[in-house]
Amino acid sequence: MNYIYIFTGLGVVSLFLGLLEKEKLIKYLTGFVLLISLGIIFTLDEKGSYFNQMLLADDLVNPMLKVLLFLGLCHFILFYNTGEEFKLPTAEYTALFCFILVGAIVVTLEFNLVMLFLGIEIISIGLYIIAAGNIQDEKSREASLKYFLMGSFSTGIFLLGITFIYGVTGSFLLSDIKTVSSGIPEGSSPLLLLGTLLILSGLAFKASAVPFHFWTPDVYQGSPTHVTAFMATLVKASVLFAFIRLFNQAFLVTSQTWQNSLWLIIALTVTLGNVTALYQTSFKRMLAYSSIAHAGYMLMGVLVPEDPSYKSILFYALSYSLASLTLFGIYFLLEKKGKADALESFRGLAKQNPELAVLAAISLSSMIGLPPAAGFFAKLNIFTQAFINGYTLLVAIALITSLIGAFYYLRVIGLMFKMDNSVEKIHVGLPFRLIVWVQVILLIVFGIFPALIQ
Amino acid sequence: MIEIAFFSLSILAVIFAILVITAKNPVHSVLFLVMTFFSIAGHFVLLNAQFIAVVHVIVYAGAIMVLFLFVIMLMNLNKESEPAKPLWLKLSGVITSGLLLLVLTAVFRKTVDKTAHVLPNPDIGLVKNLGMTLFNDFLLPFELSAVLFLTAMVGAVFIGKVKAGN
Amino acid sequence: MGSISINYYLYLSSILFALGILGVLTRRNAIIILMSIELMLNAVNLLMVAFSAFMGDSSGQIFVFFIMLVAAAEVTVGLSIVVMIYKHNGSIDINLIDKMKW
Repeated sequence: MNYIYIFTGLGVVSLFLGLLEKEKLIKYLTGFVLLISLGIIFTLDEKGSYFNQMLLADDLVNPMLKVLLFLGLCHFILFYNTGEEFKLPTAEYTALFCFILVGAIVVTLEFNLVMLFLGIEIISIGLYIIAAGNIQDEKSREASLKYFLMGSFSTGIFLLGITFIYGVTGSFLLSDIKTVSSGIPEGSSPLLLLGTLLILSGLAFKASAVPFHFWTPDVYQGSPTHVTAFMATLVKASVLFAFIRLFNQAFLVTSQTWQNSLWLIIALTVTLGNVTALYQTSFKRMLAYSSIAHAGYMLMGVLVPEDPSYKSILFYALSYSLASLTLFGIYFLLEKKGKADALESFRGLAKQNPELAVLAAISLSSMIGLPPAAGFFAKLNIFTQAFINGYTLLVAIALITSLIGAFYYLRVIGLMFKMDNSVEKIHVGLPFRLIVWVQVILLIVFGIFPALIQ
Repeated sequence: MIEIAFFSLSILAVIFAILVITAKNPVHSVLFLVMTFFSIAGHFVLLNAQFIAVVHVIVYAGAIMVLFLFVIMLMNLNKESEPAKPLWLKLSGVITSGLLLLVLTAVFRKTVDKTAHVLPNPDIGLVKNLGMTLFNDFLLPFELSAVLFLTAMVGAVFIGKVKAGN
Repeated sequence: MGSISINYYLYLSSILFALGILGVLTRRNAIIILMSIELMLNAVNLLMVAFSAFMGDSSGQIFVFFIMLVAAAEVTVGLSIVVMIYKHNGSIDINLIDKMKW
């Protein structure tokens, strides 16, 4: 709750500082505030419910807040100078960044459908705008328009779902919805069922799960790289946190039906995401499909009852986000060198920049799920939980598709270590190097001691 | 009496909605949409939601649609320039929304009781009662909506500034 | 409400919602698509107010208030994006905006 105040305030202050044209100060202040609030959240746990249970902070969501703030800090430092390169107005960009972070915190803590709706809208409206950050590029403008049109369409569907739920239960509070709907025998209220399914599709759209994924490749490819990195990590993690909060707290009773639909969605998502990623030539588009697939794996955690699922989704989201932030960061350096948005841009990276190549290789192997990196335990956790709860076929599908997925990650690793003399050296700034190393070291530490996150 | 009002308002709303999505000229679409909003506001009055009815007219018909008109005039789109989508696409659109409608109505036939009702609490729609709910139970979302508006405002400025800056 | 039950409102708003979806799927002008989305949101508003009135619970009407608010914010952002597209491309026909595949 305090972090909502802090970051709203920070956004407003940076707007005022922008008026005074103190752009350096804005950046230092943002970094400082992010660091301080990260320090606070690791020392003081937040607990309690706020404003008639609009928001609820408990032991389950506290680690999620930590992850969100940490990812925010990493993203901020990695893309520290991006504003100048794209000639973005620093104050406005920083303010939008802060507001989206507020939205992400709200959806993580939500305990009321009103808050979920408002939080998701704050996130989406902010993203529609910064997707158009590279305005000279036709692709960026196109991404913004597509994201906007499809996003507001999905908002309509999501709202219809909320209305049906309200019509049956007469409340927006998650615990009330659960109480009322537990009195209704399964299948006897089609309205409740339809409402749940509509909300499921609205959220699946935001989490980019098949068959609601069609916007993802275009928007991820078209948006400027720092925005894509933001969407794929912090925003995606917060939407999945909202997903698990909502479905664990409100809809357990209508379980059979929505679980079957979610089962189908996951099976489609992991298959289509991984298979389509195989024949992509654009690196960002490939990562977009890979992020679709990873959303599918994370959604497997939603099928599992309360306690373990929070932890496994948290672990997966953290390891995926760290790896993908590193990859986007390194790709961003290549892009600045004028390389095209293609897998071929990675050819021979190891020759002149062995450091970057090794970091990228570790991140990629974490995405595959190879043992030394955290991705292995993330996948193991999710799959074991699903297996224990009887989703054998789903786990089999997930295993096969993650094997398929290994191909396209390995292809990039192979390209990087192919010797090519025409490659030039890339200069890496100190803050960038620091954060990338921290991320990769964390990946390995969590991979060796997964108990740290429990 | 109330049935006549309900059915005439409903028929008006549906006819105008059809006209919105079929009109060739965008300006006509906007005007038909305003008419749809008025008939929906009429429904709100029938449901004893006077405050929402007034806000609906002010916000939608007053603010949002004027914004639409401005943009259309600004871009000189007030002519019938839009080429039609291919027939199969239109047909598939009709089939999709028809299927959705079918599913929805099938669900409604099974669920909700068809007996007539009296509104249990006719003055919930008054400003006084809505204000009590809004500022007691829904204070936080109300405050948060300020952040939402700020995001939208800063966003519009952002797009304008980026354009001017380059 | 005499002989008007909640079912009539359910039918009416699903017809309006379906018409909104039809508009989104069949039109090519980005502004008209945006208007169709507004139509969908209005169908939801109508249904929400009807539920709220028939249950005698005012929180539904407050939710409608928030939906209007979000619609206003969305339209602001959406129209600024549309104007930007128009300035650069000279058209807002979504079929012409196809640098990447849809």
